[in-house]
Amino acid sequence: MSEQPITNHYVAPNEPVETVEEPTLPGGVSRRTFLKVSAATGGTAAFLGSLLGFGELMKAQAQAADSGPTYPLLDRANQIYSVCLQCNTGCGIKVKLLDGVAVKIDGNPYNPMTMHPHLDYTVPAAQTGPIEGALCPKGQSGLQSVYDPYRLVSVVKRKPGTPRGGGEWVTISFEDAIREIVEGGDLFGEGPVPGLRESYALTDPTVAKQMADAVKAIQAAKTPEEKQALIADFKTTFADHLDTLIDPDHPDLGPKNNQVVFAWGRLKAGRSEFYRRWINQSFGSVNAHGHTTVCQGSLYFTGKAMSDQYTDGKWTGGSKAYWQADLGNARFAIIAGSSIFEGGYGPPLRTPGLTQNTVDNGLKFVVVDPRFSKTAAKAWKWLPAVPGSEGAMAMGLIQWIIANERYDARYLSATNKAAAAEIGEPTWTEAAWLVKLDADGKPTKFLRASEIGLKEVEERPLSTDPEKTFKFDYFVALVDGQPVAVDPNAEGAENAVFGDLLVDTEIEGIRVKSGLQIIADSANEKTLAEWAEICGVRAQDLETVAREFTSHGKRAVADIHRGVSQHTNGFYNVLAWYTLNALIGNFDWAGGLVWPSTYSVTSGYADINDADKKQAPFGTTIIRSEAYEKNTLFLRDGYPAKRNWYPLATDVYQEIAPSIGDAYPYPVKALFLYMGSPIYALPAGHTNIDILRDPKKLPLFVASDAFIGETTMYADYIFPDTMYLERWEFHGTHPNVPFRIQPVRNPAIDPLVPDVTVYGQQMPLSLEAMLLGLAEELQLPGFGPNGFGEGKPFVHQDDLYIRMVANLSINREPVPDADEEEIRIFIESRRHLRKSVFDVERWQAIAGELWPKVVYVMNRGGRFQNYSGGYRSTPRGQQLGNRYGKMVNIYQEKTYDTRNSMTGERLKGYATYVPPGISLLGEPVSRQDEQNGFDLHLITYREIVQTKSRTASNYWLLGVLPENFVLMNAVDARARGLADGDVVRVISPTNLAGEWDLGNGSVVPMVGKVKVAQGIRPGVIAVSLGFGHWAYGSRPFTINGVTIPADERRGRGLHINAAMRTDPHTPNTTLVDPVGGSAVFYDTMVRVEKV
Amino acid sequence: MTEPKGSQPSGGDLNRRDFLRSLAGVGGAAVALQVLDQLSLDPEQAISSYEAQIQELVYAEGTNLETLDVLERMRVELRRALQKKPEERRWVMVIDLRKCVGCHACTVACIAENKLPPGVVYRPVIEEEIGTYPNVARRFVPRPCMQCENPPCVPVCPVGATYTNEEGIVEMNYSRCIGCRYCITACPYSARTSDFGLTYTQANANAEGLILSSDIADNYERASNFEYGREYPREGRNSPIGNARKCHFCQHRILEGQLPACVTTCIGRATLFGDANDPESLVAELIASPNVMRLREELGTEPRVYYLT
Amino acid sequence: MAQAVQPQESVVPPTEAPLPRVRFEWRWTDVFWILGIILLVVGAPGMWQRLTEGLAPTNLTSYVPWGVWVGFYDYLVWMEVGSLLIFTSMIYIFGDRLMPKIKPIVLFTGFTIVTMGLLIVLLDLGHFERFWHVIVYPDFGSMIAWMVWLHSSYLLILTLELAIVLWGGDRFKSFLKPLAYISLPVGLALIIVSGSIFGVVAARPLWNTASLPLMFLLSALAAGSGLLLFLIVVFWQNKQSDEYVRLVKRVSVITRTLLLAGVFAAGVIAFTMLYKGGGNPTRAEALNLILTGPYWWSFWIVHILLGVLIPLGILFTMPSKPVMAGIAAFLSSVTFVAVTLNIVIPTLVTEELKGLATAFVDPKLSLDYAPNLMEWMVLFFIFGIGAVIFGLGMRFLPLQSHHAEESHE
Ligand SMILES: Nc1nc2c(c(=O)[nH]1)N[C@H]1C(S)=C(S)[C@@H](COP(=O)(O)OP(=O)(O)OC[C@H]3O[C@@H](n4cnc5c(=O)[nH]c(N)nc54)[C@H](O)[C@@H]3O)O[C@H]1N2
Ligand SMILES: Nc1nc2c(c(=O)[nH]1)N[C@H]1C(S)=C(S)[C@@H](COP(=O)(O)OP(=O)(O)OC[C@H]3O[C@@H](n4cnc5c(=O)[nH]c(N)nc54)[C@H](O)[C@@H]3O)O[C@H]1N2
Ligand code: SF4
Ligand code: SF4
Ligand code: SF4
Ligand code: SF4
Ligand code: SF4
Ligand SMILES: [Mo]
Repeated sequence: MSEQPITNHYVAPNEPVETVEEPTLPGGVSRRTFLKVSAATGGTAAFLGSLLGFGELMKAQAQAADSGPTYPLLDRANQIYSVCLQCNTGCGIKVKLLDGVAVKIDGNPYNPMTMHPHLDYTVPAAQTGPIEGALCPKGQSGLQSVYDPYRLVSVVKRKPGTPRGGGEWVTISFEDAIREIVEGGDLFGEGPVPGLRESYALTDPTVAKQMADAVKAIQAAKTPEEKQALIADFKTTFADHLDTLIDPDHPDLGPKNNQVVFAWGRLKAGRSEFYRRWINQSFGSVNAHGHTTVCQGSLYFTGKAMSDQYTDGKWTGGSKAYWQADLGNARFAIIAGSSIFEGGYGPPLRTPGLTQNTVDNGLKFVVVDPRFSKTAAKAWKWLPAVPGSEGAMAMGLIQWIIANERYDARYLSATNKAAAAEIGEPTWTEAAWLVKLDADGKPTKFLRASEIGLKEVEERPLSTDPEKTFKFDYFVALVDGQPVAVDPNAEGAENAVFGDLLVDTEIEGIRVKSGLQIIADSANEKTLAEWAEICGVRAQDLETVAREFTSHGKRAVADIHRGVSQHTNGFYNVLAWYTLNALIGNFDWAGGLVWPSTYSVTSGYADINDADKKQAPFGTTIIRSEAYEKNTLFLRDGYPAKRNWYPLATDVYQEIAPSIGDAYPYPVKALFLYMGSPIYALPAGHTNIDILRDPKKLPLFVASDAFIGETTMYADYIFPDTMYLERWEFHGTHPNVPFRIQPVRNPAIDPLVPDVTVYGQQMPLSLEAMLLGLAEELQLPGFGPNGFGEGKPFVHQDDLYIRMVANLSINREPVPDADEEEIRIFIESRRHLRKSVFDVERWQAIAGELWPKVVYVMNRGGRFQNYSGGYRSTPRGQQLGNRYGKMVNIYQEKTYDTRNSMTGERLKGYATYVPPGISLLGEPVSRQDEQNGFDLHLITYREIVQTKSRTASNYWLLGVLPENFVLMNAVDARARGLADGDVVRVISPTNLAGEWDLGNGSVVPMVGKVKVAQGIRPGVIAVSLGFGHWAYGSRPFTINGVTIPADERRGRGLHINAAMRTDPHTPNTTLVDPVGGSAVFYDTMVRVEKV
Repeated sequence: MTEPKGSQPSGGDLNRRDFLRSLAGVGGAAVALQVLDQLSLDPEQAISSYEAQIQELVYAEGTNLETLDVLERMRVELRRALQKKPEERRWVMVIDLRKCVGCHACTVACIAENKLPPGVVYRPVIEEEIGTYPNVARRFVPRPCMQCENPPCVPVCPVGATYTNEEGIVEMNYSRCIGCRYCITACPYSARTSDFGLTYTQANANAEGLILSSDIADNYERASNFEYGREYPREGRNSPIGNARKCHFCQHRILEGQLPACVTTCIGRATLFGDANDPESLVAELIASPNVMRLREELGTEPRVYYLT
Repeated sequence: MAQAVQPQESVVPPTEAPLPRVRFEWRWTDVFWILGIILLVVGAPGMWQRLTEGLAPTNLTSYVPWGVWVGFYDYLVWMEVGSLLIFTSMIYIFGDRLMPKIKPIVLFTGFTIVTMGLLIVLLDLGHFERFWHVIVYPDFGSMIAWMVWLHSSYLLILTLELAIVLWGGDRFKSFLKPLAYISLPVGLALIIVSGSIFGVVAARPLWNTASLPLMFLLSALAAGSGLLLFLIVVFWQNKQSDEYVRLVKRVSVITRTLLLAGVFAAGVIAFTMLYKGGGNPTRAEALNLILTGPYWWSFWIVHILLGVLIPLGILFTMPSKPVMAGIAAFLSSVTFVAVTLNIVIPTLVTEELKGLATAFVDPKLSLDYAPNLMEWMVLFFIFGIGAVIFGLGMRFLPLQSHHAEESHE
């Protein structure tokens, strides 16, 4: 879920609601168009339906003629439609079954990820047997993930008397494991381990609510004295309950419940609701943290900052989401640090648009990547820019475009919703808004109309509670040099304000600049030649790209991803590139930038996040996603903070274990890790080993994993999990899918794990079983016979998931009912599933009257808007059917209002170039390292055939690429006397040994074969992800004294993350982007040594 | 198509309108059959109702996507070809190297579709880097069986276990083949491989109850394949174990109206397939392009796999 | 096979153990069957693997589908057919009068070797139980089909000849000459076909030369005459006789001539290939692999030094020393296997399409091939069978008692 917030409707304490809503019948679409569109929809159905039908007909005829060849896999009754999870893209799949065994996986034709256009949603299920879409090689090899000999099938416990990571396990019954975890005790012969019951301290929701309010007041207090007084008050008010707190002197840290942490790597809706309900609502801990920042953190959190709206007098409501390009419809694209063909979100979705469009329609695209990626191989131009210089490149392009006035002035001049509507633009920006400057001429906050006496402050009703009001002070823009008040959300032509774009002036003694002027000045800090030099490319190339970018109207776009965001300057890189896009105003346009949209699964039929069962958890999270200055720890420590605080980011993965290690802001008693592997995945993940191994730092470590993985090998208990073909999830969408979708992952094969009994119900051993088992043992509210309210049980996964499908089936527009044939197919295709997984009566009872709709949705593997819904014609051209439709913040007042918790300095709220490789305290560490002889710049990337910790078992994929390598330019190789295939060790300033020290006596050297190539920037080396495993079946381990031999095929190649640099201030943690939260993968300097 | 194609070299640029028109023209009758079947209308009524639907689709706003997925076009053409007598069709594959992104999905899809064991691969993709930094190119060349018009692999077989069928596909008769592997040495493209009867998981651990174990985990490897429209359970030393194996253009899928597995899953839409005897087909159009070539043409094998460069 | 030609007037009951009252007498030729049994035992595990697991345990791959077995097959055919061709033509064409004296031994050796060759071919098949398909579903265009037919025919002719020589009454003796005459073209064809198997493969430039079958023929004759010489030296009964020295000398001359001719021809062919290598890089690559690749020693040391130079030296300098000639013959005929292996393997381990070996990686899609222990064990087993047959033949068949029939010349 961390990467796909759209389906998550749970409100985390520090997070605004993350939903993308849009009117069902979008405003501005005339009835006529609407009718046409729906006619087209019907037409598409008949059209595609007829293709299908014909195949069936042919088949029938052929069979009648002679009972010729039959191919049982084409029969819909031998197919289940679900969702891939070989990577996080989640393409739609159809799982083909032969006697209950999944024997082939292909693309689900209803799902837009695999076919373009995808099938009309109304095509009858029976006709889709022979129709299938495309998948990438990992999707094709999914069978090998699920049918993996090394899967765990029993709960295992670290053998008492052996250390964590020792590789010795014993099996333990599910019930015993649950009891031990809840009750604690001397579980490993190392002394008492606190159980969950001990941490389940604050159980009274009323007290919790009161405490939470009191804490809010403490944090809101402006002066230290006020804060101290309120703390003293708190202590007297809650004298009877102080023992439930972590530290009564710092009540804002929250109750002891917070000392139980739930972390995850890959969590999708459905399981997310399950997991978060458990830890947040039922158990009452604030600590539920995902992996976003290891992934593309700064994209999300810049996106969030850019999507805040001015609502009820505040900048708020930004979604943790970001934009990507509608490449297939673009005429020109810049693809920066984004791996369309090998990684990214959806090679099956994005590749055909790009290749067909390039060959057939002359699309040109430029790839900005130090590595000559497969995408670059098809590009018009490859710009092998210096890693970390992405922001500089964007600033250079911005400079040229502004200087040459090639931006979309009409778009940028629209200051508010009304103006945007008038010119047919779905979005608008602050380009023309006036920003006040401080004494040094630095931009600060927006000028308010009342400050220059332009317009009075108004009392307006709160959107959330119309009884209450807030003070609304207009913003200001100049219109033909005259100040005009701006209400960003005003509608109606009379309220449209088109402002002057480049303004640098003084009004009523206040120095102001327009948003665009600030950006222009920022871009003019260097000359084009200087920007080009930073990037290591020719100025002429920048000019060519800038000219081309501004030569295709709205059909040009810059697509960015991890290569831009995972630097210490990630936030500003991302902001710069989105600002570049804003210059041509391509948001919501066909061939421009797409904002994700999905169908909701949390309400409609049943409110999944049923409010009255919630205990509002409160307190500071261990990863500190809040303003440091408000916290009482600031009183104690001041600047610099002991560890960085992340007011603009959540799910800061690299903070979880190190914060536990440092017991900052407080010690943790138990960590649950679901489907994540921070040791393997994080840059400098090896620093987590010593923390997670140490029972003193972390008394209890429980994992849900399908294997014994690189991180879970250090756990005390591992609960086996059902894998992706065996379980439920609502995978959501990605920001490059122009259609509204909600794919449903559902059991396609009978789970290979055994059943256990919880709440008297049989269910497969899985994450759900573990959570329900713990809930039963702890008697948590929100679960059990009345989990969903009186008489509404939550005792089985179906109680949640079937309700969610029912919600989905009526979200926005209800789907049709399944007819008898559809129901027959549905049931027959699940004939191999055991009762604990699939039980028609049970499912039907939960779905109630929506049952036929549930069947309809599941026969299609989810809900998918029809192709025609993805685009719409407007008088000015093609736009996207699903729109962001709001203000795009290219100048951010809220960011300016935020301070760096190390330096105490304010952040900049606009696109600017910040050099890469900077430590938390501002030292240019990468440059220093380079001067100290670490002469190669290390980057990483994905090969299309691997993900992190889930595909090294896919022997078909290993056939394509059995091991990775150290990719190095021939020039660098020659200089070091290296030849193709030579073995080298990679050494970095913070890993001089060049190895993974597993802490259990084993050491995994970071050595790999050199691949000498031309396709990488000299001075840069690249090592791909997914190889070099040391767990996951690649090394032997024992269970119950039986040695399980290893398969060395799974451990070939090298995993480079331990070479990635740590921060001098927090040496147990990677370098970070202190603003956007990104873990930094691409700013490390290394050396290689031949071995 | 009802109109001449004009001078555009590549067929992928067929826009939806042209496509639908072509469908109404040539494929219309086929579709009509189905409409007839479904709606029990008389043929004329059926055609006009279908054409009306297409008109709506063509002129509806919001659906004028630039390019229709070539997969759709090829599916229609495939079904059209299936109406002909087998000997009247000539299946060819066109691989557009400009579109191939080297993803290897085709390789793996083929393995999964045909249950290929270790040592057997029908369609590897060869990768190559050319040039000197910063002027570099990478080329990805998928290599299925060329289904040679003049297949060197066929005459060498001592038992006639491999032959060209009436549609031009070089087939294997698994139960005839004695496994001498002469054909393997004779194929100039290394397109034939040998089934040694291995499984990918057989080297893995077996500890039932503790881990899933290879005895259970190899169930998908032991499942039947359906090559040549027959069922071949992988049991004992039964064929195709012990045989030479090769790409067969997924004949078992074609016959059911499906494109070959590698074509279907080609994320670059680089692998195109169809009946070269149908002048309206995408492949017929493409193999007439000036940028077409075939591998090791000097051998005179006359491959039915064409490459666009 | 051996049992098929049970002697009529046998000394020993065919299957049971020797009766106690018959005193067992060791002969030096018992060394063959004893060695054979040892080889059978040593080779048994490999044979077991071959029968239960098929070709999987071999080091053969899909890209190198033929290996040491095929090499040995060709080698055996060369030796045998070559020796018989020379033998038969010397008797029937050139009217040699000495030769017929060792006819039974030569024929029986031939029979044994051809049987071994057939076994190897069978074991090399993925489905040897379908062997009969070659007869039921014949394909006349296939060199392998011809090879199988010719090989079987050859075996049949040999068996008949042998039977007649051993037991045939006078009535049958008259068939010998026609049989011998038939055996000539069949043998010749077998060699040419076994060369053409490779020669027709246009895909493999090193094989695909019209000169390959010719080279096969020359090599077969060279190897065969070596074998013949060896057999004479070892099995000639009266080593004191003049005839013996004369015959050895005569055959030595033939052998050294053929060796020289073979080497010369091979050299010319190789030279043209290398010379034209510019035009055909794959061919040159394969050839270079033979000459300078990891198995360069098998060519230069085994074949050229041990198999050609030393034997030639001996045969030229000491033509009238039968023991030395025997050693030379032994060396040359044994080392000829290096030639067949060098023909079969290097050309296969050369990529047909550049980059193929790394396009999809699997041990069974490797271009690196060297026979493994199991493959050798299977060969041991087959040589064990051969040795047992030969040894038993030497013991129980009247191979040396019957001195050649009166010549018809
Ligand atoms: N060098 C390098 N490192 C990288 C990256 C890179 O580009 N280069 N990319 C980064 C990115 S983008 C990300 S998102 C992270 C991902 O990092 P993570 O989210 O931490 O890793 P995952 O691979 O998703 O999850 C790994 C764990 O899940 C377990 N697992 C697999 N299947 C299941 C299942 O079905 N159920 C359960 N319960 N567990 C399961 C595995 O055994 C393993 O222990 O990696 C990052 N690491
Ligand atoms: N095959 C595969 N696909 C995946 C995944 C996977 O594990 N495997 N994971 C999925 C997940 S979780 C994610 S987050 C996405 C990530 O998808 P992407 O972000 O698109 O993929 P990456 O490979 O991390 O990086 C993108 C590109 O950045 C380049 N790059 C590296 N360093 C730099 C730099 O300093 N500057 C610039 N400009 N470029 C640089 C790399 O060479 C690479 O081509 O992929 C998803 N898809
Ligand atoms: S991109 Fe590939 S691995 Fe990822 S979800 Fe799609 S098919 Fe699966
Ligand atoms: S490519 Fe090879 S296997 Fe295919 S037809 Fe041609 S010669 Fe035969
Ligand atoms: S391996 Fe089979 S198909 Fe190939 S030549 Fe031998 S018998 Fe024929
Ligand atoms: S046509 Fe079928 S058999 Fe041939 S390569 Fe493609 S998927 Fe494999
Ligand atoms: S699937 Fe298509 S794009 Fe991918 S490697 Fe194969 S031919 Fe190329
Ligand atoms: Mo990610």
